[in-house]
Amino acid sequence: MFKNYLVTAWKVLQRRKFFTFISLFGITITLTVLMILSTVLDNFLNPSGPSKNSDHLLFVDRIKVTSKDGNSNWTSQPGFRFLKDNVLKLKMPEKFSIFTVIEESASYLNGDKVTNHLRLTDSTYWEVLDFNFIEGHPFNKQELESGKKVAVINETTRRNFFGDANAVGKSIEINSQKYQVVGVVRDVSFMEIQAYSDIWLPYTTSSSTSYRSNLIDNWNAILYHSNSNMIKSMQAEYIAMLKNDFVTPDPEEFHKVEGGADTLLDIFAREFTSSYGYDSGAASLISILIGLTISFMLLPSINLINLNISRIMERSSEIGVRKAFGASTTQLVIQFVTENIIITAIGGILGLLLSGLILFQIEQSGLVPGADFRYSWHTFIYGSGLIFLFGLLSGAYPAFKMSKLHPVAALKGGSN
Amino acid sequence: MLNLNNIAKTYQTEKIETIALKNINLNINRGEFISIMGPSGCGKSTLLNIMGLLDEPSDGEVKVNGKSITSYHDKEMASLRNSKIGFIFQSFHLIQDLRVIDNVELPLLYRKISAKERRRLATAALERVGLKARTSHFPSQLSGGQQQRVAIARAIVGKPELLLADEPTGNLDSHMGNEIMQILESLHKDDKTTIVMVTHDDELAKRTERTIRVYDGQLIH
Repeated sequence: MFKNYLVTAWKVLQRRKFFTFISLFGITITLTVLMILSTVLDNFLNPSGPSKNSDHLLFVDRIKVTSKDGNSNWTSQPGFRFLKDNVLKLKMPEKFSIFTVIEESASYLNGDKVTNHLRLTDSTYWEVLDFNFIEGHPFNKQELESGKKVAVINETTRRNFFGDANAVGKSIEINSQKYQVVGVVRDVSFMEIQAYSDIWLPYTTSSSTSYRSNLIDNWNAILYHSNSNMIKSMQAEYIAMLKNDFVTPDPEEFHKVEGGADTLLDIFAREFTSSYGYDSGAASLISILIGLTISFMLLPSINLINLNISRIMERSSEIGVRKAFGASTTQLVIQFVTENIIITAIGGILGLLLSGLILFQIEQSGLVPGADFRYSWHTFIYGSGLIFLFGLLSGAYPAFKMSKLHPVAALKGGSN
Repeated sequence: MLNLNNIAKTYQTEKIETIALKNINLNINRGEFISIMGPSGCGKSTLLNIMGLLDEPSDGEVKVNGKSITSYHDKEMASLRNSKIGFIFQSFHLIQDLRVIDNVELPLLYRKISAKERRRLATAALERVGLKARTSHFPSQLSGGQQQRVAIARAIVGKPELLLADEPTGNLDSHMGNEIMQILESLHKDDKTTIVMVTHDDELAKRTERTIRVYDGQLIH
């Protein structure tokens, strides 16, 4: 039976090559776009590098500060002072790490200026994130506290500065200061916004100490708990602290702070929905994404529905014959939906291949440094689900309409 | 085996009611070879469609083997058509995308029969109509007569009790028409199949056991 459907589906595809091309093109392009977007999103939300244990982590990435008179407010990365006075006093997290966002640093290599991404961190940074050291080790608490000029660099930076040789023990000049390399890590994807960099230095080596007094600046914090079930309670503790125990050196200007200790989804949701209050907007983000996916799929689905309906006339004799020889309405619906799912699956496979190729090209182009855009099983299941939904969406209505044709009318040419 | 009691069929459009059949009482006995004759538009095909359970009467009762089918739903009607009735159409109605053998197998797809058994029965049916050598051809590669023989093989593959033929020779020349008639006669004689055939051709009608004449939607005795 299935073979019969398969043969018919294949023949129907071949019958009107131009229309088949249009249907397949619509399905392929739609799925390609959806697969690329979902792979990039999946890469962000389910990292495979140092932040792979992200379900144990919360990030303090943004705060919204309001003045006492309510006339001014800022949304920014938090400053060192805010983190030190408020975040580090939280009870629940087992570990904290504070670090800066990446900034550009200048070095000179054989007389040429080289720009690298630089991040200042503490020593627990290397405990809460899981870096892959290919040489040496991270800097420790003692080195941090004594402000020792040590550096961890990534593989690409090592290659640029030292070629294929080992780098540990050698010195590297960054922003006109000499640092001793203590460790080399594998390159990190740019998508892992808290882990990515070329060079990591102890924050105590900063040439100025003015950062210590800033409430808003360019710092981030990670809160860690070994039990991922504690994440929700940690988020609640953070918000309770902001509402009740927020310590401020300037109660007039920095009167109220809103925000959250965020998961990766929350971070994305805040940016996407511009929600910088206590609620990250993650629930709205999910509804928006589902809505966008459906409306994006609707157009090629309607196209396919139309095409399928126009094929009723061509196939009315077949429907009549099948009915005359004993096919029930249900059997015909199953046949047409199956045929449609087969057609969609072909478009889907093409879409998977095309998006794989495009992602590979993006990865190779270096547009997103260190990116690893391979399909994960999440995206694969998501993609296959989309294909199935697509087939069902665009096949069910025409199938129902086709199968309802009266056998006599169908044999005459399907006039009603 | 088939009883039509007081059958009427009317088609209702917005303002006009067209009467296609009225007051039809007809018994088809097992093993009969019957022809239905009448001018175009007199209701022959409608009558055949009602006999074949493809169309529902507006009034009256259809009984198959003594059992009324008035209350049957789509699924039961489909299953009854599949097991008891075979159709031969004037314009063959073969599925052009499928090979001859797959066309013949079609009625068996809706039965619980293995693929191997389906293939065996379809091959036997094609042998019965003298087309065993054409199993892998597509309908478009065959002549009209050959296509109608494929359609007959499809109609008989499920061994139906009743074969309904709507002008089976209408699209064929007299030579091919005669060949088709000979096959029908042999099915009737050798296999004791009950056959009802709509025809315009007096000569063919004479070769059947009983001729029913329809005029203006009524039977003329």
